Amino acid sequence: MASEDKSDLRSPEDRGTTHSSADELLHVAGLGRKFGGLTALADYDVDLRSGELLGIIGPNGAGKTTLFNVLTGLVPPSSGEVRFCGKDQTGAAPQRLAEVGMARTFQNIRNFASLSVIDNVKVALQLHESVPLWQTIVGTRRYRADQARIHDRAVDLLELLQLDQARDHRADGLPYGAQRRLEIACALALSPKLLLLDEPAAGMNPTETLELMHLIRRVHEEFKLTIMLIEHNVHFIMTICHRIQVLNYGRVIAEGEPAYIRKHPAVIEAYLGHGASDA
Amino acid sequence: MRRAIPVLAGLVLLVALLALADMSLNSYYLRILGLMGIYIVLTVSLNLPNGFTGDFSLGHAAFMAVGGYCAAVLTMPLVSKELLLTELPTWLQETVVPFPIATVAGGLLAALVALPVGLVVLRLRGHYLAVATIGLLIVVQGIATNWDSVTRGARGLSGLQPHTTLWWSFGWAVVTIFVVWRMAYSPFGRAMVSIRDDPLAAACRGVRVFRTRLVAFIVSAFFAGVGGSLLAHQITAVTPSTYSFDVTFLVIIMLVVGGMGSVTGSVIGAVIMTVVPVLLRDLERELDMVGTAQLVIAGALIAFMIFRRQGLMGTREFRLAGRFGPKASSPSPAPDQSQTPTSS
Ligand SMILES: Nc1ncnc2c1ncn2[C@@H]1O[C@H](COP(=O)(O)OP(=O)(O)OP(=O)(O)O)[C@@H](O)[C@H]1O
Ligand SMILES: [Mg+2]
Repeated sequence: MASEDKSDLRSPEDRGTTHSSADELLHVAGLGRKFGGLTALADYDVDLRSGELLGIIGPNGAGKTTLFNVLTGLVPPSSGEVRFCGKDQTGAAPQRLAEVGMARTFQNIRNFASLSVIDNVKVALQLHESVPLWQTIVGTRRYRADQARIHDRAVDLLELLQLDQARDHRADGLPYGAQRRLEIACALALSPKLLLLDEPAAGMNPTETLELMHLIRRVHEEFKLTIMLIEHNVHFIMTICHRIQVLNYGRVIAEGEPAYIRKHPAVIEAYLGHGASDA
Repeated sequence: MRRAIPVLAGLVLLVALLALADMSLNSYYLRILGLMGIYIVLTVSLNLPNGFTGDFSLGHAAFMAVGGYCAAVLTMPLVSKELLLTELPTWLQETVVPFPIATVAGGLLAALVALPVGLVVLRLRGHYLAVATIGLLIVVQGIATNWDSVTRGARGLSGLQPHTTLWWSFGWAVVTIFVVWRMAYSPFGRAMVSIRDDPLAAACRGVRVFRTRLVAFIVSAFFAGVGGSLLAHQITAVTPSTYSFDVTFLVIIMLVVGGMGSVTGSVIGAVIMTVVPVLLRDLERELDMVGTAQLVIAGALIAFMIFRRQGLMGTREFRLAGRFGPKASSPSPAPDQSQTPTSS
């Protein structure tokens, strides 16, 4: 099943194309965001190659979520530029960014509460499958074929995330861990190039966390995804990320491989000093 | 298409009942029944923005007025036009359009008006949107009262033909239900509900939020225009007060009683809020307690909002076939397989 999924869930234009500057997917320079007098994010730079798995850690209020909000268009940047797939996307709207291949999950889960689990996934699948409204009303053959295909893909995704048995339940009726997995399913349904996960393991028990780790690794490899991952669980992030950035007071204070970050004095000072023990 | 059979059976039943009513009821009750069909059109269509995308519009009567006046001017007999509307451009003065076409034209004009209106008011959400749509209602009332050459101001347009038979009002009710149902239970409907639940998350999931809200608003306005025409040709006259705040609020009440976000709920709400006041009025006349019906209805509505705020149907649907909407949240929590430890 898994290897067929791969071709199904990628958007057509994503296959086989190479981007201008080698395989650079995301280029961010000097990104900043102020809220009134508060600098939530400042001078943030990153270059992400396709297939990278970048971890972002930092104490509470460091600006990690703000970074994701600015990248995905929920909050406009105060300064800086964002290039995605070789195109300038600074200040682009969330819908546009979803279209070009950015998908995210939220720290405070934001599924559509009154839709069923499978309909949550279908909302995202519709992005690349829109049908004219008149065809919907008339119920043309093409429309019905499209809906059948969307349904099959939604079922596949729900199986991948072990949600298939809950598919007709309301999204807000799911247990916590399942709601987090549903968010990931919806994000994957967008056939993204870049997946931004904001504390996906928050509130999960150790078993769930371990399973999530395997899952993230798996989708990373199977879907050839590039991932940015915010996580407080240090063990989690040190295990699966190739590279880690440490944010504090809106600035990157250290960046490098897990082994390097683990020993970095500024990191121990700012972050690991409080958090290392719960890893 | 197995699902079509119960629907067809329902339609046949409806036709039979209407034919029976047509033969046996006196004109007073026939009028009320016709009104019921019109209210179904209005309530079901108002559900698109108010119930499904979560844009609580109070401007339905404004679009009814646009459609009603438009259709009235189009169907008015030549004699009446010569008498009443002397200042119309000659091409309009000399044309009389058949009722069905005039009704569609009224709906289209209302939809056309809804486009620029929607582009402006849909920048707002929540209470602000509701207030802005009241503004629209005031503007349209103002135009209807002052544009003498077309609307004859407060005197209105009279002498229309009573085109709105039971068949037309329920025919349009069926069309409205069909269209709104197809929109609500489709990709478009999922997009609408996702916007209602969380517009920002919807945008992040690729939903074209503004466009979806605008389309819902415009389709809703189309059927409001149709309803306006039906109402005009039932009363056989239009004045500004035909499409007043009262109409908007009555339709809102029907919508809320039935359950916002449920198509069949809207139908039920419209039926109940048409029938119950009539029955109560009959009763109060019998008991010689004139005026109590209003009080009873008001009290019942307050109690209803306290004890069943989600309306009779909530967001569920009454279906002739197939399952109900998403399963409720509480009972039998979904199997969370990650609970079963698979590794040490
Ligand atoms: N919309 C907003 N308006 C005002 N201030 C904000 C807003 N969003 C974030 N902030 C502030 O910006 C700072 C960074 O917040 P952010 O949510 O990005 O932190 P975080 O690193 O995600 O923290 P946590 O680990 O607790 O999730 C905080 O001081 C927060 O109060
Ligand atoms: Mg955060």
